[in-house]
Amino acid sequence: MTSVQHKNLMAAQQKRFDALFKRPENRECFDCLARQPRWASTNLGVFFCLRCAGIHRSLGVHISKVKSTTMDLWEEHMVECCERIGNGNGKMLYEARLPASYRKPESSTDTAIVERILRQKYELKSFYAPEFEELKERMLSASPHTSAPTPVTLTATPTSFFGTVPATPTFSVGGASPRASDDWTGFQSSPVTAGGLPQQHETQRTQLLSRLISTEVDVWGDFATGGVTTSAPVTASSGNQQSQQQQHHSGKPPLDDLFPSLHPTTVASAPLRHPTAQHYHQQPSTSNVFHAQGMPAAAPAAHSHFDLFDIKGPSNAQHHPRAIHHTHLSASATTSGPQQLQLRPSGAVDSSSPAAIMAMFNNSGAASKGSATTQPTSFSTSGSRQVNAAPPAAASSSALHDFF
Amino acid sequence: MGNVLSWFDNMFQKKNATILMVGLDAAGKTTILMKLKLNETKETVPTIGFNVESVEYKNVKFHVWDVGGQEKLRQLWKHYYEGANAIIFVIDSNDRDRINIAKNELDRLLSDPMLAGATLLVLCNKQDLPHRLTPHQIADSLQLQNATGRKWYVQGCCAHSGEGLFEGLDWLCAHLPNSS
Repeated sequence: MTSVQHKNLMAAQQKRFDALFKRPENRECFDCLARQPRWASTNLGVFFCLRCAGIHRSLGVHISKVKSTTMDLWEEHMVECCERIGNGNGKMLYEARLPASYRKPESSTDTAIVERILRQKYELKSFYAPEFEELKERMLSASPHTSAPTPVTLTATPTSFFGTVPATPTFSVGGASPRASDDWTGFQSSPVTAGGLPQQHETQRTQLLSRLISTEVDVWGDFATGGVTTSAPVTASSGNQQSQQQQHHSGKPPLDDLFPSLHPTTVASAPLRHPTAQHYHQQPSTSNVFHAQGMPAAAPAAHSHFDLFDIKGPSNAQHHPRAIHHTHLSASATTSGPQQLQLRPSGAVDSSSPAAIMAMFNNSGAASKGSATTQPTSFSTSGSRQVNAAPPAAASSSALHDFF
Repeated sequence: MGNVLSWFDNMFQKKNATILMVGLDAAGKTTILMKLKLNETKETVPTIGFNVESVEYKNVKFHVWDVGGQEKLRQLWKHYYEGANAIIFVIDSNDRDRINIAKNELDRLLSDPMLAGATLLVLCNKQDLPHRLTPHQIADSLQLQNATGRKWYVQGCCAHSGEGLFEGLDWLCAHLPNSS
């Protein structure tokens, strides 16, 4: 494409966007109160501000594909998606089940809070219309000119928010907080791990948990449990600890401002892609390196490059990434520092005990998979901590109830 | 005596290297830069323009230019080519749809005579996400084996946790062009 062609296409595209931005619903960011949104999600079809664009990007392209309306050349289907959905129809799709009391965050609201809301919205799809797929399909196949007054009627109104909550959570912790459960080829130190699956699950849990524990965000304070009871035999390094947990919320959570009528209840394991600094290697480990090394002299044939991949053998097993994660977990659970999770003590059970958190984690993870069979999940760290949680079927009756 | 001193000087003197960090938008360039510089995982906003930071690692002082990756901004990359000793090309491993666009941009980059001597480090970011391409697959997709006459290296990483970043810098330290 010549630069002239490119310029013309950009100009034509800009005209279409200008027309879209004249619509009142598109004059404000879809996710906060910022004016003049100039970024958009090309698959969700809504417009948002620069800050929210940053958060959308961090969700990953499997959730939201962000593009600038001024700096990117879009494909036709992307522009059509925004024309047919836009911030007006977007409300029907993505905010159909928002509580009536919900107020949009302001542009000055702390980004961490907005991020949590957006993850709840798009990653966990908590407020999506019940018949979301069908609805979106109909919007996308509709003529763009008829899209502004939406032809689609909704069965769920915001006021019926709690009434329409499904009895079982529709998302899973593992799925919602996507951490690849299979191997990272780039980080694989030994080619094949025997009995991979159980260990992979364990790794996944370890990784998620280490993130939860080491997160800067005071998750537990904001979403302390109200109704979840966890019966989890916990084997901590200090000894056995039977915990029947009822955690209470103390202090004013920031989200109260945005959901004034709602009582923050429980941990819905809002996935946090904030592993924090504890994964930082001052001394880089050589185990998890993918060596695809091309040197002019050492490149006899195309495929032979990969002969140079340095796949470390079992001798490095102790430096295996999984081992690293274990170490991190124990480190992040024991070190006290600015990165340490601020936990609020509640009731008789010391909720700040990592084992208690793990129990809750295991619980919500297994429960959200919707499995009635209670699989005891063993979780071991280098600190010889073990949690065996048999999740009760009614552990989290409704993820949304629990969350708010 | 003078020889010994200069030898010591070379041993302990800090090298300087100018690094051009580019890649498609939302690949994670700024997040990587923040992680390297501050060891913090920050929520970033799309870079409009560029960021520049100096990062010291081992005996090398890296001056990293992180340039925005939106389509219009990619046309500005060429203004940062001059004096670059190495390129860090960041890829969103999770974005399978745009791996070909990334390849085209990389090809354009590597074909520029101003970057003829620069070493290339490809960081395959977001290795923690479910649909990611492995570094192996990315090396295949980018057809790096065709980049003869250039030192290159593909490293998987996760900017949020920091995994893989310093392994990449390690390689970079060892393979910087002599001029730096």
